[in-house]
Amino acid sequence: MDKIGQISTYTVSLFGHSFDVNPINFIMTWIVMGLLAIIAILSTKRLNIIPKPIQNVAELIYEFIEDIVISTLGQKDGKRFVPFIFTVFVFTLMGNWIGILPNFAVMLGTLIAVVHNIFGAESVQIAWAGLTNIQLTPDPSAWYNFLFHVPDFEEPTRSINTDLAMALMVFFVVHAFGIKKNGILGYLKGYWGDVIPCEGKWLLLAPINIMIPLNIISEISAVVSHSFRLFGNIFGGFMIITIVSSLTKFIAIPIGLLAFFGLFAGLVQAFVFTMLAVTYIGQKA
Amino acid sequence: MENIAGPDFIKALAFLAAGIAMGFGAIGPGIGEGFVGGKACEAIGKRPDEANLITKTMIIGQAISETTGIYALVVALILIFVV
Amino acid sequence: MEFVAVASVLGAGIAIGLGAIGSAVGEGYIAMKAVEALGRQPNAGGKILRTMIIGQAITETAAIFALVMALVLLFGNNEGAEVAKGYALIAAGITIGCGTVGSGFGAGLPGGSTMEGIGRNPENSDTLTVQMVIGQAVTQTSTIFALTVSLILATLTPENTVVKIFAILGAGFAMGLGAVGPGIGDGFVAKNANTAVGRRPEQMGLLTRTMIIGQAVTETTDIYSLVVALILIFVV
Repeated sequence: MDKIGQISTYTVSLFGHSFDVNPINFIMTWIVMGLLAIIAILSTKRLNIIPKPIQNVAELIYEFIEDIVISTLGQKDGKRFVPFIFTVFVFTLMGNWIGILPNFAVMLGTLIAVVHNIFGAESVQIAWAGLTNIQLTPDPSAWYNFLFHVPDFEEPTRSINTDLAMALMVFFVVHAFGIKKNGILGYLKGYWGDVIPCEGKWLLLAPINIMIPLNIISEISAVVSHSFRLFGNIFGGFMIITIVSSLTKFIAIPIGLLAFFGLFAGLVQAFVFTMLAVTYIGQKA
Repeated sequence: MENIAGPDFIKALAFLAAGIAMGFGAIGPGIGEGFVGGKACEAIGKRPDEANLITKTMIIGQAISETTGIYALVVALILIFVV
Repeated sequence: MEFVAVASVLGAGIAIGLGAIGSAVGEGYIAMKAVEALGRQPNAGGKILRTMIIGQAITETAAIFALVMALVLLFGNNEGAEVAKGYALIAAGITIGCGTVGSGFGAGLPGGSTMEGIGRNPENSDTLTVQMVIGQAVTQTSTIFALTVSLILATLTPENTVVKIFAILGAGFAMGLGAVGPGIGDGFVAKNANTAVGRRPEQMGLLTRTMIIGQAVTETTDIYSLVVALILIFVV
């Protein structure tokens, strides 16, 4: 249970201010992007009329997203937004799913340590204190010791920073699209022209229209709810898995919980995030 | 625990009030938005061709039902940061 | 006994006492609809029983979360903690206790409409079961938020001032009460979506999509509660 709430941060000082940076989150984001790039290259390497399995899966996901976007935004605008929405979807999905990978480095280290111990090395101690409590302590001088310090795979979406960054990106795309589509006046009219029917005099009524601050607050709170929805679900799932694992002393790996919170909730939340992005864009059209 | 003084007591009660305001304020919009979403699903079940229009109407209806939830959020934030 | 020990027992009692309400009502509702369906289609007894048990097992999730939290509160190590820690434990109990009422009851609603659908046409039972499981799983979101805040409160060591104690109790009320409405609302969305799938199983993809968007938007006020609770815990 002592793992909960433990975040590794470095404090960087820049221009006289100090910033807290979470390097694990940063590295995991790049790992997710790298994996996506590799999958994209592999699936489009030899395009064929009769697709290979990996191309088939990529086409399936792409067509699924394309269908939703075009049916919501229309043929012309929809076509322009498909790549953006597809990127948001696959990044969120891969970001949610990467946390279920086990820590390969620690597994490899344990394996080497056990083999090393069998061949009579002094540099590792394995203490069997009951069935559920196996302590493996490698000597700090052993050459494979660094493997035990490699951090776990961590969902980048478990950190609010990643989620907030993505929600802000969607926010700017939505409002830029709104301004481009309706012109600056038409865009502003959306904030105070719709409540009282005042036939073009809406600009004069601006100072006394009580709906303006509320409309602005609801636009901003959309960003908050959009990002915290993803964050809360992924973070909550991680906490539940950690708590249940620690209650069962890590001996019974909660596979059902991993399947539900890792795979299923990850897929649903990635879909929800993407669909809400499409809906926000569609509202400005 | 120190003895509680006047301004501190107001601050403390304001925090409690913020929690209760947001808590109760979230109940109504939650149920109301659920009704909107449910009826939209029912309507799509009857006329799947109009799914786009129904979804758009559903989102707008839910956004307006949510207004009181946003009032609760604003009141809670004022109680936390301004009072 | 010192105050913190009393508070942890009290928190555990609130957690499981209130937390059992919603799931119990929801499961009873599913069973009621299952009996009705059985009255209409006595030959489909096996299918009805199987779907009923799956639905009730998922509806149970909320109560199981409350149970886990009650165990964490009961057996947590609070040696030498200060008075504020006791209030944090009570707040954790309130959060998970109230927070599970909504989605426990809400998860029962789609189960009930699934039973109605099977009672109308037992052939659709597989499609309906899949739809029911998705709807119920998304309905659990508000409970997951409540559990997250509750765990944070249970592992927190707050500073020992009156202002902080009231802020923590406020966080408990915000998240606990705030999870009730969206839980029930999510249940309504899933219920009507399941009724519609029961009538037109061929439209399941479209209906699942709409249901998930509807539920996601319904949870917005729940997210505001989460934000207010996190501000009260960490920022104040």
